[in-house]
Amino acid sequence: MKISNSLVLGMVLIAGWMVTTAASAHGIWFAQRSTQLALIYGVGADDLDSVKRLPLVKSIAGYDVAGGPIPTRLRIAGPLLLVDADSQPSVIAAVLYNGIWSKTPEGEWVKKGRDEVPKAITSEKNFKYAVHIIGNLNGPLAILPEQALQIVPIEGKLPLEMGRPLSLRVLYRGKPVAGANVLTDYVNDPDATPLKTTADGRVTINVRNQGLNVIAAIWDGPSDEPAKADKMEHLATLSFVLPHAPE
Amino acid sequence: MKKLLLIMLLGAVTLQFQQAHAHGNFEPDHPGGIVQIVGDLSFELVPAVGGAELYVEEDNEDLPSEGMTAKLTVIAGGVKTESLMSPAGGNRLVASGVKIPRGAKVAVLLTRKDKVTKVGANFTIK
Repeated sequence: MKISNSLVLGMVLIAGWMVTTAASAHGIWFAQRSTQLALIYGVGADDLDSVKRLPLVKSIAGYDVAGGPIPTRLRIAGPLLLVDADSQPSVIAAVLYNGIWSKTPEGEWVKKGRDEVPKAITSEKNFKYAVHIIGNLNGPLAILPEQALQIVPIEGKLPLEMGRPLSLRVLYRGKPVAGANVLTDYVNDPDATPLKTTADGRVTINVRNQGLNVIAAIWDGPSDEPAKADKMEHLATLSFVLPHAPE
Repeated sequence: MKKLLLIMLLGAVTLQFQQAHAHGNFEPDHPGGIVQIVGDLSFELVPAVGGAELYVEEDNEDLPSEGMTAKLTVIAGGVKTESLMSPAGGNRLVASGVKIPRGAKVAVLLTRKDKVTKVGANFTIK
């Protein structure tokens, strides 16, 4: 069988587009806005309308340095969703369910299931998870309830400087996930070629920023409603800040 | 002449670098104080006999504590205690009856005068 160069090039481009498409899904993460911690919905530099998506937020939780729960909620402040905790947390986590989306043969994404779009190329349920570490870790990051997909630092601490390696493990319901796509800088380089987790869910990155770091993991799990969705896409972020040098 | 220009250029770069980090100062103003900086706010926690003090600065200037409160959380030996810190003049808030032993993890959450805006910091007592 002869395969032309054009065909090979076309296949490579399509494969690359598929990877990029998979890696570019919207996510949620936490970031500082005017000294407050905000829940962000978007991808890359797109910091989208999070207030509109507040009804999709299924949980928001804060934890103290010992892992104890802190009463925590989100409050609307203008166009932002700010974290409002009863005492200072060390870890903040959120879950957003973005519903079922289908891609039509024309390439358009619609918020309907396969039962309503039978000719869809793909139909998926979309779950977004976010964990933010405030300051450094004092030990292993707990596997948090509600965070079906979660990224955890293996050594239980964060480096102090950008460029240093950080070994992570991606877990689904507490178990390592092989083959998850990991983006090392979801805000500043969302179209990067993702790294893949190993059989034991591991991946080692070099921390990108002396500032906010948002690492994302994307993994497709089996559907719990095959009539409506072919798969469940889980997108989890782990965010933290490496502080800048003192004055 | 070239040397002079080079020195001026290096000086300008140094100034620019310093300006980028020109918020707060980790040097405590009070004996035993520990400083944490959150953006342009500086929190100095001073564990004291029978209590704790918190001094707050904004942009390197005292932030009057009147109208503000803070929640002080101390975790030591697996025990968690929470206290309310009240304004005590100047940029100072205090909580009495609090014990902060060495090795304790301490968290402070300041509620500003608008009663809505909160800013916090975490401390480790060495």
